[in-house]
Amino acid sequence: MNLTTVSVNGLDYTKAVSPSMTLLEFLREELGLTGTKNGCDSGECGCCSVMVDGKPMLSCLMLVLEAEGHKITTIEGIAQGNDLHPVQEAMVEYGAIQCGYCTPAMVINGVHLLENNKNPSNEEIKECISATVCRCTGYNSIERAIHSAAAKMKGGCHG
Amino acid sequence: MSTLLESFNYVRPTNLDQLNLLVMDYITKGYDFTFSAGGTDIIPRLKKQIFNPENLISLSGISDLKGIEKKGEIIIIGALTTLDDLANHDLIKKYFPTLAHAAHKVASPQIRNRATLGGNIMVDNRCSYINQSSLNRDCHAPCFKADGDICHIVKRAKRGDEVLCQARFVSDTAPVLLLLEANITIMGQGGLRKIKLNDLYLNDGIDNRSLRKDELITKIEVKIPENESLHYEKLAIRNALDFPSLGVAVCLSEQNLSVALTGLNPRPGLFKAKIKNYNNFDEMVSDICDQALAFAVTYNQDFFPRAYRKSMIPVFIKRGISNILKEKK
Amino acid sequence: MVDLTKGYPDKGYKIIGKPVPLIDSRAKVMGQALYTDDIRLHNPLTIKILRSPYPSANILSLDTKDALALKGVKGILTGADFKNTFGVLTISKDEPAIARDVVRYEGEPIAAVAAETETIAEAALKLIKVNYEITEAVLDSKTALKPTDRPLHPELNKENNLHKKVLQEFGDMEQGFSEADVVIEKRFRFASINHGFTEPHATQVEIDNKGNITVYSATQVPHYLHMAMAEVLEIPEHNIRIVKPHLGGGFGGKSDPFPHEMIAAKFALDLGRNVKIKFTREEVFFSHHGRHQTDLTMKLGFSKEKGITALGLDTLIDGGAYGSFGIVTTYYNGVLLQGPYKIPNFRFHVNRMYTNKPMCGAMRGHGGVNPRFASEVLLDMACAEIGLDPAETRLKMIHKENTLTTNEFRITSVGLQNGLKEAMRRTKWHEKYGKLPFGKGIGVACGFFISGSALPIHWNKLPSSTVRMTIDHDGGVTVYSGATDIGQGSDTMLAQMAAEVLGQSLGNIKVISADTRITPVDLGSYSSRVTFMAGNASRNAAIRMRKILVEAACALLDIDPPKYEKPEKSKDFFRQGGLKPDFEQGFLGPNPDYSDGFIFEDGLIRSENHNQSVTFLEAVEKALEFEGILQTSGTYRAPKLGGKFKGAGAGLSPSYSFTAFIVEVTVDSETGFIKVDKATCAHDCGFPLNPLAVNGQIEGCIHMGLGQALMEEMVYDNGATQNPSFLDYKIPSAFEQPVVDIVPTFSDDSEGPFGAKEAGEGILAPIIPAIANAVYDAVGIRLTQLPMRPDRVIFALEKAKKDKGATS
Ligand SMILES: Cc1cc2nc3c(=O)[nH]c(=O)nc-3n(C[C@H](O)[C@H](O)[C@H](O)COP(=O)(O)OP(=O)(O)OC[C@H]3O[C@@H](n4cnc5c(N)ncnc54)[C@H](O)[C@@H]3O)c2cc1C
Ligand code: SF4
Repeated sequence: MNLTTVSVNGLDYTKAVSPSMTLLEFLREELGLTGTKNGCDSGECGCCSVMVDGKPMLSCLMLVLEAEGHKITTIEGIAQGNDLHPVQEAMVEYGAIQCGYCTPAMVINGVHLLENNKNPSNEEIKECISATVCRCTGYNSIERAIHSAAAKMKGGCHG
Repeated sequence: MSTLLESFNYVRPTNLDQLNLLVMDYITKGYDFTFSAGGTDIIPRLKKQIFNPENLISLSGISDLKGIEKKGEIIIIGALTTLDDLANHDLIKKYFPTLAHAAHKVASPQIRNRATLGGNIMVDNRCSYINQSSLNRDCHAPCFKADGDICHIVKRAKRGDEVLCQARFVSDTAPVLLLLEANITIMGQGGLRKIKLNDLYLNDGIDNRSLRKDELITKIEVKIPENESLHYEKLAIRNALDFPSLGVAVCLSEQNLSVALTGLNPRPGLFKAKIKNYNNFDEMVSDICDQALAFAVTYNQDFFPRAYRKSMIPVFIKRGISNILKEKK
Repeated sequence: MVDLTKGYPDKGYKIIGKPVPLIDSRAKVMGQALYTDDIRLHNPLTIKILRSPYPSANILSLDTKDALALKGVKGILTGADFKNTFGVLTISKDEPAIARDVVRYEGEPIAAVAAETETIAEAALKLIKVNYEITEAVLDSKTALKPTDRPLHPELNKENNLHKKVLQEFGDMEQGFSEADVVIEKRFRFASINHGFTEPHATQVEIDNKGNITVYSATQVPHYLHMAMAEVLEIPEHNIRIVKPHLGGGFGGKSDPFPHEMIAAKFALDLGRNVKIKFTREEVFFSHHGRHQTDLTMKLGFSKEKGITALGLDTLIDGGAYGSFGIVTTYYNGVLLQGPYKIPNFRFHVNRMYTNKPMCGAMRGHGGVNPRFASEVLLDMACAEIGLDPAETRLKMIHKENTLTTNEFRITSVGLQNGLKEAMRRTKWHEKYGKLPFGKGIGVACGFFISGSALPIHWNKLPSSTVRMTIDHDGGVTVYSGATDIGQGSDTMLAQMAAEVLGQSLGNIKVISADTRITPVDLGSYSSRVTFMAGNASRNAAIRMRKILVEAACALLDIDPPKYEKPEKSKDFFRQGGLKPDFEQGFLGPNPDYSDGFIFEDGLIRSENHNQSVTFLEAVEKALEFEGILQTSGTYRAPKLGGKFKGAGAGLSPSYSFTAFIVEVTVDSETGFIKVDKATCAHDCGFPLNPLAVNGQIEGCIHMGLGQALMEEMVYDNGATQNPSFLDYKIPSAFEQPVVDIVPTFSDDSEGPFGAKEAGEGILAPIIPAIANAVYDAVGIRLTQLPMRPDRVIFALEKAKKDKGATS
């Protein structure tokens, strides 16, 4: 067992963990943050995306010990209280959510895109969600939602 | 079937001195260890229990191994530079747009945010048997790559064969780096050494890298090309996630044409032709295609059948050339 | 956002027909929605399953001693612990929870361990010693037809591995072919494909101190699971409560009772502990239950004047090791060809075979997808041969309203013609078809699907669906339904029904669904039945509620309550279900009529005649005075349908949906890559209750159809699954998804709730042949094997070149 401190959604958590524990297991089993999903556990479905220092990464392919010293943001850390992020709002409005299992990952990837790119092209939006499997929506509505969130963010509705 | 990792000891040195001491210690004690960089290749293999190292030495804490800088006409890329940083770096986009493109073609955005260039050129060779689920592997005898005595792809293979294991090389960046004649710096217990990237690779699917256990890559150096133009094309059924079923890099200058291949044999292929040795351009192209075809050993261990993958080699080479010519115009 | 209601008739509804986000979207987008594996029970044991590495074997011995001795291991189950087999269909209960003596597919459960941690459970699996005698496996459906003395299921069939044979013939085939201008026969081959839902199977079981269990499970069919579990565990149903938490996609893949569900429940009962199990992605692929691998020969007779004169098919489907929904699949391979065009002479012969592979079952478009591909490609070939426009030809042949098909399906509402016409206009069909440059192509295909199976799987006289509705003292409305929201949005649909009838905002409606302790029986989410059946039930419960509130309002206003008409059976055959509103016995039929002279809006109930009103809350309070509680039930019962021949029940539905696709593609003739550029879809789902949800179903079906068309396939080598991962099983990414144009298409289904029909499955089938037909238009090849991989395109192109060379 190794003692580690990981910063998740702005809070530091110190826990004794097995070195073989992935960040995904840590989030779900140790912290009870079940918004991050485990769809394949091998980097192929994208559902376990979290932000590490603001960049989306797959928490199933990352040991929790590797997360030490980095800032982890999960889906639970995206909305400000009851205020949804424009990407979340748009996902709801555009019907980009059906079964919802990939939704947290889509939000994480979409938020990252728009925080770094105010005017994403269709291609860039496709790219940003290209490795997160959504079996319900066919991706079209997710793309529309991200487009609309981009427009809204430019309008300065949300910080 | 498990996706649980077997337990191992984990260490993360924070500078090169610490790393050296640690490696020395492990070597003298005879400990089993493996390096991990981004971990995107190694973690899935650990989960599938393809191998179980006792110690995992993480390189991710060593900032000296990260970053991209220009020294004269040479661009030096730290081995721990992520593929995303590489693909988006101004120097790379300016001088090696094709390398940026190839890096961008690897896996997925989330993986590229973590995966490193060092890890990518060192990525383990793949095969439809060894990268199987453990349940499927359980019902077969272990193969050569799993320390067994049989190959499930080439049934007649036996110990003593020149190439024992046909697991294929899959790095997307390596072919481009090969055409750019990249050098790599290797650090080991004996100090530093610099070799051509091409000399890193052996024709052995079990381990195709000529590194000793204690050695690691610290940087990749690439000279800014004078008049060469490059193109990289990847064969994959999807535009995301998939390993290359075939990857073809083409480099064309006034004098030379060269081609590098990935996704086929245990080692990458590299072929060169000098224009002055041919009667005309087409003759050269067809000769280099023939060389590539003669080199390529394909097996049915991919989404695409072997014959198709092979037949795409000349198509991709010609496409690469015509793309370069088009861009020049 | 574009106005999604544009193009549809305005029926004056407030919530029906409006684009509303699914009511659980907010919880989902915040990561708060709990899926089965997200639930945290008190101190659960973790279950792991030992699976067979061999597709066919006898278990000579099984030694669990060492595993049991491992510290932290609490229990081990083997085949001997389960007496009863199970299956979703009463007529094929052939699956054991754990293999007993015989292994029938690679990945079949051999033993299960419950331990304090996952690590211990894993370690224990390795300590179980199994002595297998490997036996010869039956690897494909052709071999399965051969006589054998060692069939997979000797209890059902001693001769060979035939599971189900269906042969139906209508009309006179010979006569039909003789009337044809062209007769084309072709063989087709289809790979088995997987649902690829993102949430792996998971189950958790909570046990109370009286030995009652609550089973939280990722299931599409809580009701069938309930029944199967009671039978397998030999305990009364009332000791079991099945709850379906949020569910991460099903598409048919979670519509059977599963071994792991039985195993988990048994462990909980035996050990008196809470337990949990979650599949790895590999285990999902090993369990499979996907679309059947299919070999099919189809023969089409076509006449310029009469259209289709005869259609015959011979089909072999590879069912894998167990029955699952297979008997239904077998029928659906034939009967779902009965639309969208009239086929006067029709014959189909389908054999479903048992093989030593993971079983196949229901998957979106159930049984109808592969034969649809064949028939639409043959139709295209016939048109090409005679020189007819394939879109115009289809337009002419689509069923008219109120007709009977050759096998006596009752076709009521049909609104596809206008949709297809509009799709042709939007895509500039006539300017493009046959006129695009080499490599670019446009193609068309149509399809048809049931809106729920009229007959239940387990024969009974209960309604097809029942909904309970309550109103609290403060006016909050709750809908209780056994219908299973699997992400398709059925909870939202149920809420819309109640909101519309009771004049409430969607936010004022709570839906409690898929909990067998609390919600009335609903058969589950399969066969696209939920909107039509549970939707009608919810609407009817709301109408009864409305009557109570209107009477209360009348009492308050001191006016006479409206006179409700007695139900009266319609004489019209095509409207047999067409009863007048029945406020006493449950409203069975036609819409929209629940007009009672009152308007429910803005929190008021207003009498139109007296122009007086009371608040909704006042009416609720008054009604509570009479009743104490405010509660109604609403039901839906499918009308009596169908012919009198054997097997006439298969494919009977109170209504059918119709779809047309026009697809534009680019084919790279050097690499063989097919890029679908644009898909234009016209889908007649009656009246779309929620265009946002309907469009989502259309785009989702396009994605899934695209996958089957171009890249998805289960690969087996000697019975071993070769690609049990999302890396090797190729699900299209956002890059491959085409631009989608949805043409507003509608009809008024007089029996569907507010005129609605199916929108979840039928859309999937025609996109695939539309792609194939577009590929023909682009490069002149006919692909008859799915997936249409680039190497197959190249092969076909080379063959075409050779053939051309040979003839010229
Ligand atoms: C779903 C999925 C898809 C993928 N698709 C692709 C793809 O399309 N193309 C592709 O090329 N790869 C692909 N990969 C593989 C992998 O992600 C990349 O190759 C990646 O670049 C590996 O880098 P890493 O830093 O994560 O390597 P690691 O996993 O950390 O290491 C890989 C290997 O290199 C060794 N190593 C790492 N760094 C050094 C060093 N500095 N010196 C010496 N040895 C070192 C490690 O010991 C290990 O053996 C994919 C992986 C996944 C999970
Ligand atoms: S090619 Fe190599 S990895 Fe594949 S089966 Fe043969 S020995 Fe094993």
